[in-house]
Amino acid sequence: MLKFIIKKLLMMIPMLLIISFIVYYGLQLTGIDPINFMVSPEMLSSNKENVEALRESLGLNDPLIVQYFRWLGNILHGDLGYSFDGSSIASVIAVRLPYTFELAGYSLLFSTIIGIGIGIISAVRQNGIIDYVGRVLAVLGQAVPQFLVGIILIQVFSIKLGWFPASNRVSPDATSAFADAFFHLFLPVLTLTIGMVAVLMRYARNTMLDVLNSDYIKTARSKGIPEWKVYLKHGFRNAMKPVLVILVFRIPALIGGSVVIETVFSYPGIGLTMTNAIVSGDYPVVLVTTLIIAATMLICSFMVDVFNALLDPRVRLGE
Amino acid sequence: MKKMLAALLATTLVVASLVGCGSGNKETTAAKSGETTAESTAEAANVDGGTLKLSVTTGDGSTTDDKIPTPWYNRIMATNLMFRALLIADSDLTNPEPDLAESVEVSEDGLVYTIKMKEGLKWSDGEALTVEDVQWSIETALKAATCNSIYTSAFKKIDNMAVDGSTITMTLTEPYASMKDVLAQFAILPKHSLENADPLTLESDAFWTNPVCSGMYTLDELNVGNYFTLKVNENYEGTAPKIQSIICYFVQDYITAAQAGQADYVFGNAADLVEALEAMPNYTEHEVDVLFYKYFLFNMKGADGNENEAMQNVEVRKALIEAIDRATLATLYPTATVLNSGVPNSNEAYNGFEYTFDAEKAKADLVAAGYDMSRTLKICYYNNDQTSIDLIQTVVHYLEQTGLTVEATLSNDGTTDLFTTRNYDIGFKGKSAFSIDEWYTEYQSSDALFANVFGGTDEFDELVNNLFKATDSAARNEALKALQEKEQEVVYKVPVFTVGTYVFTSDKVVIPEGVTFCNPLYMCDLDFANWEMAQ
Repeated sequence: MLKFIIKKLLMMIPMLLIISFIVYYGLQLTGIDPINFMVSPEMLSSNKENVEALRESLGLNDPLIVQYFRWLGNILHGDLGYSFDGSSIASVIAVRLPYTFELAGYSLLFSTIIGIGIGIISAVRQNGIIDYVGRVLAVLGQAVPQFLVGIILIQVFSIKLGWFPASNRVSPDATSAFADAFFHLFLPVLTLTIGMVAVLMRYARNTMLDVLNSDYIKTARSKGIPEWKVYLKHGFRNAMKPVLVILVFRIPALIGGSVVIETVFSYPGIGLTMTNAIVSGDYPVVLVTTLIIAATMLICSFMVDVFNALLDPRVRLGE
Repeated sequence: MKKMLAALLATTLVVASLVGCGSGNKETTAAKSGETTAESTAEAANVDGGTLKLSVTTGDGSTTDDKIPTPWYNRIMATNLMFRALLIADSDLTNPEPDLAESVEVSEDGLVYTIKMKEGLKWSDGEALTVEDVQWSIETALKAATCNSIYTSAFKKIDNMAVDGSTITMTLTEPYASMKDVLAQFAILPKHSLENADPLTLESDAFWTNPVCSGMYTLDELNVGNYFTLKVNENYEGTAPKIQSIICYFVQDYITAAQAGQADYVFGNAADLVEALEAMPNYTEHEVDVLFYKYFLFNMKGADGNENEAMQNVEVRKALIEAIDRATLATLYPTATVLNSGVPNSNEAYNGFEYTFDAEKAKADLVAAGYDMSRTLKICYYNNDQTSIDLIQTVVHYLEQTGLTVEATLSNDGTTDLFTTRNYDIGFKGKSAFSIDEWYTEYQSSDALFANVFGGTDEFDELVNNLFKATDSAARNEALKALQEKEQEVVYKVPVFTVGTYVFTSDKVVIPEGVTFCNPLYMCDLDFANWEMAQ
């Protein structure tokens, strides 16, 4: 098992290198000149010398491969570099990443509890009211784009009702940090949770139904084991293994979703930072944030592999 | 199944009623006027110091939300309140009056500016604000990478600066008519805080996370990604403001910020923003006289030798403009005024020439000019708002009516595509100009960008210099008429219209009677000390 884990971990290194090069090269292929986003067009027209000096000082005149390996070398030395507007990327990440973890973490927690809970109840009370409502909501949750859900929630709960703020994470006039966090996180967490719940609910319901129809459940019932014990001890435990794999597999989607949701809610996490960096042609920030998201996805993928290996010994045998 | 339908119906009703509760009344929007009236001020009789709410978007000159945007590029309300200039302009951005300066005297030949500073001026950190700061700021602006070209164009004319006590004397190489107007925009920055910063990256210096200010407000708190707050500057020597604090939220768009009550002051010219704010009864609209040009430029010949022969015939260029109904295009914006040169039709210097729309004549002229009608005409534009996209689609339609095949491309990086890649025939561009002069500087052979599409010829240089030097209105009008005739003769670029800009203020703020708003990206006297918050 240890060998399996080490092998999977080592495989992540070349994958991250390949991803970083593809992103670096891809950004160059767009033809976007970051100088145009740093300096006004009027300045580009009138002060060519200063603009050229700036280009040289940023190393933008060097060949692509030189720029890439210089950047990679710095990253490996722990120097994430500076954004084109002069901010230390390490400090940018240090402020923004916890906000994103907070948003994604709460969404994961609530979507897991709600999604699995409703899924199980839907399976146990198949064709009941909760099952019907749950199935309708699951279809809606998957069919309606998350950004649209976010905009609708802002319109209803922030603008029409005024119950929650429409943007940011902290208020200048907050008296309680907990209340401030609750009010700012409620709508973005709800938006992400709705999407996640839809998937988990459907999967938990279907898996539970499969388990409840299996022979060992019938055997348990025939032994006279109480119904709640059949559901919890025999049904729930067995149904949850594949659901947990799906849950971990959905974390990258959660991170990807947070990029959109943070932009909709002006929530100052890593996703909004990446969006603003793309819009403003800020390569160094785009590279680092993309790398962080890619690393998160790889780690989740690694966790899925480990879960699979734990649940299914054939995965290890086939290595 | 019935239970399920009943539950869904009940849920729908609850949501609908919740929305209905908050919808409120939507009566009318206040009169469109740049000047505040007694009506708008009397509506809120009860006022207090309170807190003004502003919003800052990335479009305001800040690419990230972890610092205060530099006032040397665009000026915005927050930085106008933090950083002062030597002079302060009126709403036309002209007729400047002393601000940090006590007096400014200009020699008869327009070459020597003698500026005497007020006594006892202090920065927010208690240090003295002196002529040394003025000299350092002007010298550094010429080396800075992020600096509005109105400053560098003017300061390049300074031959030398001499400091004597509280007086600074600037000697120019040649007269520069709008020097005082420029000085009324240029924020003086503290030498003692910034003298070790690299001018090339000055706008990203750590200074901007805790700036030392000269205005009536100074930074209180910066919360990265969320907001910054301003408090009254205790060292400000002028009339103390009535509003005691200001919150500036970092937001993604003004409309949502306004709807959510995060902005008591919003500005813009985009049709969606104007329509949304006009529909909000708690906002008063102020139309602002701004020179925001929307114009076509022709890619003809680069200074680097890269040529586009198809657009080099002036008769072809004239015919293409003739094929487009610019008056109809103007109707896409809430307020747009069709132009025929860089000089607005209402200006006394306007020469009266008009481009006419005649599709049939345009087609005949294109054929007569020997234009290859089978080639694909390429249009490049970079504004990705829906109004701009609609405008370009309409232009494509007009040109196709003349039998042309047209391809329009939306660029991600307009500056590169318009001036470096240059794979187009007609470009569409916008420019928020400080003055008419800025429109004509693009024709100068020294303009590194436009020389790449206009060929870098010097045929406009003398005419533009005459405009810069014109110190009286007769000479200025004469220079402008000469420039109009030249531009209408060569048709390198053609203005479509100027777009009206609007400032919206919420009913939570009470603005003194008689205040007229100016271009929101510049600074003028708004009598801010007497602004108040309604209770």
